[in-house]
Amino acid sequence: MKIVARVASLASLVGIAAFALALRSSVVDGESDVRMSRADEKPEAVVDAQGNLRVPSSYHADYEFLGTWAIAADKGVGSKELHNVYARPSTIAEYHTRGRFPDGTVLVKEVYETSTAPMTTGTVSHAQTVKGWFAMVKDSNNSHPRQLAVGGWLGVVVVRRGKSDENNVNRLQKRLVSPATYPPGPRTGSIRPGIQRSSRRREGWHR
Amino acid sequence: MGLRRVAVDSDGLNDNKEGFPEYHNVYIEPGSYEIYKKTGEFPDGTIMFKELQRVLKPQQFPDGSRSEPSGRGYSPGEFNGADVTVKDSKRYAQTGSTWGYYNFNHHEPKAPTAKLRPKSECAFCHQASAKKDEVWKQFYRLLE
Repeated sequence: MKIVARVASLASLVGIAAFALALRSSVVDGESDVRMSRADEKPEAVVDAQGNLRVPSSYHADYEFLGTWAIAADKGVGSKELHNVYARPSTIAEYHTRGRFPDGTVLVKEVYETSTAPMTTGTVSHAQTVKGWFAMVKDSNNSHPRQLAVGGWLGVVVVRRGKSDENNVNRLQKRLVSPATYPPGPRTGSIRPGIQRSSRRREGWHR
Repeated sequence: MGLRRVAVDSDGLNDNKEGFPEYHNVYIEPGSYEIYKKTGEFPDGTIMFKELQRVLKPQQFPDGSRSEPSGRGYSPGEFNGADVTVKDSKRYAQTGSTWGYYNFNHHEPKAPTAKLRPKSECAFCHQASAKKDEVWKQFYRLLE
């Protein structure tokens, strides 16, 4: 974590002057190599020999935040869901280098229900309760013939049930994540809108 | 941004000019996060980095939202500056705060340097309503 060490030393010695510059320079001076050294030496497996998929338990520590998609509120301002997407740093680096996701790339999307309230800075929607996860893994060779890798990806949806401690993602995943079988079906079609809330079910990104 | 640990995900902000002008993505460095998890306290030197990010344009609906395959909503767009806090219980003591608050522009590019913001601008509200040591723990699932 070169970037962290640099930022921390700046903060303790001379305040956070040049903080933004430190960030910018780190991006171009080989930070991706540093990133790969920890989390990507032995990434947690998310797909087993049969092609069953699970949500990695360590994604908050080992994955990088890609961005958030907010579902608009049905009425009024703000959003009703936040969809936060994560990927391993090495796969992001390879995407930038080669313009494609390498096989084994995992994208995790966590879905949060929001709470919306007025604050000093305005009306804010913040993540409140995790509702579930999507995960997809790049498998362009369709190496698990019993599963159907659509568009080169295997996918799974995990829907959280109940109202237990949403902070304990690992425990929830143990309880909720079971091997997923990609449902048989055509390889082409429309993208399914939203997450299925009514029941625990499995599906891919596309079908 | 390289800080791997995401403590907070995103917030929508409404300044009454647009329905959803910004995401606020908040990061904490992993070292301080580990200490916080063990001790329940933020150590001196903790940095929280709030990345400001516009939503994707052009808007298709009056509230600024767009229709995408996932539904109607907001996608992340251009970066838009940053707010940073640093904890130092001695350095900022004269301001009546354990944290220093800095703004690196509310637009791009981010400023290379920033000066400490006065208590009335940032710390006051954090002290009044943030649940843990001026941090909005109540909004950050990973800090609970």
